[in-house]
Amino acid sequence: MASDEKHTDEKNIGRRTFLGLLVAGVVAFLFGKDVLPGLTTGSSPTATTVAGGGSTSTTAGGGSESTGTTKPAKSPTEGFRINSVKPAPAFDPATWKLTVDGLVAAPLTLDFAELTALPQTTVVRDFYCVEGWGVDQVEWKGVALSELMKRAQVDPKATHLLFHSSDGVYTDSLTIEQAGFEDSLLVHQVNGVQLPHDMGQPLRLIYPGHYGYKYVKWVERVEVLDIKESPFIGYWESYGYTSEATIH
Amino acid sequence: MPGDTAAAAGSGAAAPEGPAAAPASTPAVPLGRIRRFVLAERLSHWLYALFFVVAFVTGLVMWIPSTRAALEGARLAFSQYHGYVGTAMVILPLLLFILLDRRRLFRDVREIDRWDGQDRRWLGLAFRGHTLRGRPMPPQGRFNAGQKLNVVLVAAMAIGFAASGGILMHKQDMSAWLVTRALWFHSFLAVVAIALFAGHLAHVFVTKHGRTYLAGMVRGWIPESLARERHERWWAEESDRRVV
Ligand code: HEM
Repeated sequence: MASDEKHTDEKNIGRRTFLGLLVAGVVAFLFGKDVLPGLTTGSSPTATTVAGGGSTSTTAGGGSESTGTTKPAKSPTEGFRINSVKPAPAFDPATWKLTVDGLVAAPLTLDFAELTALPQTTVVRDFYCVEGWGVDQVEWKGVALSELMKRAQVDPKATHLLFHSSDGVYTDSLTIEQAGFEDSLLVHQVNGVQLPHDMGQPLRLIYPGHYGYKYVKWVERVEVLDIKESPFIGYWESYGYTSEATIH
Repeated sequence: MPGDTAAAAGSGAAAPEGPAAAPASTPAVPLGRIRRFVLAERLSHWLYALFFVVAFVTGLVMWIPSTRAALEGARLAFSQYHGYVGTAMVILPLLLFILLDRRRLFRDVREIDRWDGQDRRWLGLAFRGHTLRGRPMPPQGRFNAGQKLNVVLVAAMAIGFAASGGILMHKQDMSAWLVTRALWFHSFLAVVAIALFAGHLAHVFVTKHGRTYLAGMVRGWIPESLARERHERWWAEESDRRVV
């Protein structure tokens, strides 16, 4: 009677709820990011610090678009989560220099005006961080590494370019071959504005198709090396990341 | 009530073997108290709570931009430690429970799995605020429907944390497609989990009997009066079995 009633009435609701939640979890895993993207990007509305003058430098070649003076309503750095291991000193156009040295026949020292007077390249590429966030279709503008290597007359013995950040700790490298790709650049603009400080102002490496930790910020020196003679290991590589940084 | 007694007799089928058989599964406690949790249950609960809080705090440190920046290169190692804590959270309490009292674990799982009409009605009314307003509720067993639901949610989320966290621990070897989704889902779970945790704490510290339940999870027993008031069916079974 009462007890019989109770037994027929009993259902395995606990396990059904549990399984239902697992299914809901899989659905959220697959589609949640597209519905509610805000959870993982580090983009903050404080991007007004981006200002620093929406660079109107006329270009010596390529990328004539988007040098407009009106800034887009959307922050040009939206979606970027700012990761840096150490803050770098502020950019001072009067004293800033880029050095290209090491195994080169003609070492270069360029100030910012000289750098932006070189032929410019603009590329639009997806940016992706090893942490699991990314920004689609970022427009980068700067100088191709192949251009710098040509001008510095890189020694045929050289195997790598080592990029030094002015923060004093961050380094990473590319092979000569990787550096020669047409979209391996040292950039000073992102989405039509000068790089904000926390994104590497004035100059950062980009190496599209690879994780963001290769994108050394605040580059002030490019050292050309034969790593058989002088081995080194990049910053994150010393913590275990691979040097290839290939996005799977 | 005759009905309740019948139900109690049904579950206490061992009764003919003599009252001495009962205390083995239900250790005797002084009159006026009812044994609610054995040591295995309490240890698992508190171990899980400890690891959860540490996982949450370490996860938060990696999520807040300023603390994250302060970690500098240690970020990678930190993320691994966080992963170890999370893994421990999922595995250790369960392992301990199995080692200490496997049968009790199965019993608890069965109890949480099975819901009858009164449980379902209880939950419906609770969602409509009847518990908050102190309205009469359908009689409940050892766990009320809300407590059962909490366990189910926690268990499902533990699996979600382990799966997404496991992907994140090996993110360098995983496809970008998978890692971006895992990171999103993991953060999403963290938000849901902390909301549930806040609700859990609110039940402990704000509701009328919260602290008594808390003491129950610490000492293992609750006053018979609470059992009679909130877990009437369980109380009926237990008081039948007790050696007086
Ligand atoms: C088996 C359990 C778990 C594992 C294996 C795990 C693992 C991980 C890993 C590898 C990361 C990536 C960190 C990074 O390098 O950026 C992460 C992030 C995080 N975890 Fe966990 N975790 C677990 C459980 C938890 C729990 C229980 C919580 C808190 C309720 C939590 C909260 C977080 C948060 C807030 C982040 C930061 C997410 C972000 O950066 O957007 N995790 N976890």
